Amino acid sequence: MKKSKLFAVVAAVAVTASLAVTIPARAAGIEMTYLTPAYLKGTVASTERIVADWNKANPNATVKIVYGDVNNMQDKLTTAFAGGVAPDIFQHEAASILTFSKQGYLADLSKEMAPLKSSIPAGLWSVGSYKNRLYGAPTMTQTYTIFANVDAFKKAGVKIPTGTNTFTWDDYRELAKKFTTGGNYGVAWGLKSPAAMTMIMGMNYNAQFFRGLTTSAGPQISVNAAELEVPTRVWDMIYTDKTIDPAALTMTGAGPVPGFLAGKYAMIFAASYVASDLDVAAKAAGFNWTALPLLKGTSNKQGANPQTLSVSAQSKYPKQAAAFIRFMLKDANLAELALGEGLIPSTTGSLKSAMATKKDSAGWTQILDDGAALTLAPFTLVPNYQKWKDTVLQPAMQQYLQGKISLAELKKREVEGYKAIR
Amino acid sequence: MSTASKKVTTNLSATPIEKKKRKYYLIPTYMAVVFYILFLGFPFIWMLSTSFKSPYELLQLKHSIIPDGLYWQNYTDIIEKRGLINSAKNSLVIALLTAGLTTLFTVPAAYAIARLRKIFSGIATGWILISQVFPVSLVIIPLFMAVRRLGLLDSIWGLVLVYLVASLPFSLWMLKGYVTSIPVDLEEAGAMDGASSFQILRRIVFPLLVPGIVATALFTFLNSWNEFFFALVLIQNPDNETLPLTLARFMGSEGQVLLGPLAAGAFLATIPSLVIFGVMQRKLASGLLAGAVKG
Repeated sequence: MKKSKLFAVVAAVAVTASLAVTIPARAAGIEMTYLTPAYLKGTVASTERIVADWNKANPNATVKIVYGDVNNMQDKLTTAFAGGVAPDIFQHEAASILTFSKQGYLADLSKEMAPLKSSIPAGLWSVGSYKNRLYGAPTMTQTYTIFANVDAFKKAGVKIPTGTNTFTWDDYRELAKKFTTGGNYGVAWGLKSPAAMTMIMGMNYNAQFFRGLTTSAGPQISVNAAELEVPTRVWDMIYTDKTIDPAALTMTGAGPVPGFLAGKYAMIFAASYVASDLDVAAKAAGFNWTALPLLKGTSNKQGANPQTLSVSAQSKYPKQAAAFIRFMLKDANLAELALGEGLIPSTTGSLKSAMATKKDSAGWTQILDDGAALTLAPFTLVPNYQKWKDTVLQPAMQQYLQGKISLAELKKREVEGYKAIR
Repeated sequence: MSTASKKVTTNLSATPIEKKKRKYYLIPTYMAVVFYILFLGFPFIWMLSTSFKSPYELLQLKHSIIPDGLYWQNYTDIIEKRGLINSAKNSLVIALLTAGLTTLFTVPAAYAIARLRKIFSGIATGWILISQVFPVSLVIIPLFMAVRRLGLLDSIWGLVLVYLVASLPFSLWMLKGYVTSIPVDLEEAGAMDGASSFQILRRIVFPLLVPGIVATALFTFLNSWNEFFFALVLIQNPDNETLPLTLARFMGSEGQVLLGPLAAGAFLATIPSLVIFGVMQRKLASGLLAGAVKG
């Protein structure tokens, strides 16, 4: 046998032998799966960095990332739970995990997350809980914000509103009128899917929509003046004032951004995640944007529906999975993840960290400040909320804002629709 | 005189006025063809153009078909960081296996159903139709359980099995129509000439059935290539992901989309099906002419 061949055989035997030695050591460790809907470039990179850090520090309890599609998380999880192959850890939105909590699919995280309780606002903590047990650790959340073109405000000589809990819906309406000139609309508002906005902004007027959450009869729908206040005000701005561009009614939340960057609108109303798009424009072309203070009705409260991290009750490693969640919720990690998504981190430490990172941006500072106004919205505790929102509220609001049905008809559909799906 | 020489003679014998007239007729014909091709190809061209645009360019109000520059990062991102090549490989393997197996099962079954007595054929066809009326949402959990019990959950073979079962009824229905259109007289003539049943199938029926088989295989291939929901539910491991699953991850909630990478991924995802269609469509056309001209 030639020397080189002999060497190759020896090397192969050595490698095989070394694998035989290492395999039992690897098998002694555990591997957990983490299902995440992360898809933005920055968030994917942050998630991978955090998981790599965890795996390095915990070689005997590693985590494997499984990417999910944010628009199909519910289907994916439903079948995974039913089939007994649920991921150990997963990220989802608070309003959607309630059904899983009730069905017993989620592990109780109350004890494991107790050290973090004081650093998470009570409202957010409650949203992830069911019967006083925490099933979803709140990680980050969004607010609905008005973004303003700073240069357009300066050019028009209009002062940019500042302060907390002072900028009212009436102020907003007047501001929109000021910028509606010469065929240009003051505001663009992507209202293709207005249901979530209706519920979250409704808290401005203390809209409850559901009552009797803890009674034996279960939640009852209740639509009165408070619940109809936000839809009415938006309708008035579209049809009475004509200050909202009707073209944007069929746009997604981020749809009006190109028009905003082109100077077509002085303001856009959107969820805070739009800030990440505006950052791209600011970096590439020096676009000067800011976020206005949260709108105030009777208060500036907005309903919170945060992203949560949960552990499946089917997981064989609930303690390790909970430890991984605590690792994700470390200040620096959570701040990085939230900023990548354009969201507000849930813990006080991560919020401080995020504020330090974005201290030079007035818009970001405002958005991060707004987290304090988030509160527990009753709808997150209603088991059939998701179904009602998608099949009843969404089409009814679309038709109302497009001028196809009256306010009375909107109310009727909301109430009867809920009764039909209960 | 052969058809070709007849044509040449006809062309040569045409008067200059006739030739001129024919030219004028051809102009609008070609214009219509060009317009039709542009109409069909425009989304594809737009997708290609979008795939080379930077995030900032995609945020602009006015878009040009020609990008400001070639932003290759959309492609490098999807290939290096989002595992598109692996997903494409999985999709290709699954789609080819499904198309191949479906064809294998469908050809004899379609022949049998088409040539069965009318009553049996009717029952079989009815059964096929009934299997198609159940919505996916109704069968997904039992199907999930069945696949899991077979130990095929989260595997490429599991998806192939599901796609095979899902595509068989319609493929059978489709191919049965092709078999029925082949005159029984041809088979009887073959039998009178001493051909065995297998020879009749192989030498008479099969060549005439080629366009039908190609159409069925293409149909099955494209359905498997594009399928999303079963893959979403049955696949857990990122290594086994198919293309539609990978592409769906470029879309966020409330209409957020990573348009550049999505367009780049969609463009690359279109290429294999275009190539396969390009190769197969010749068979589709050539088979149609098989046996059309008597020798």
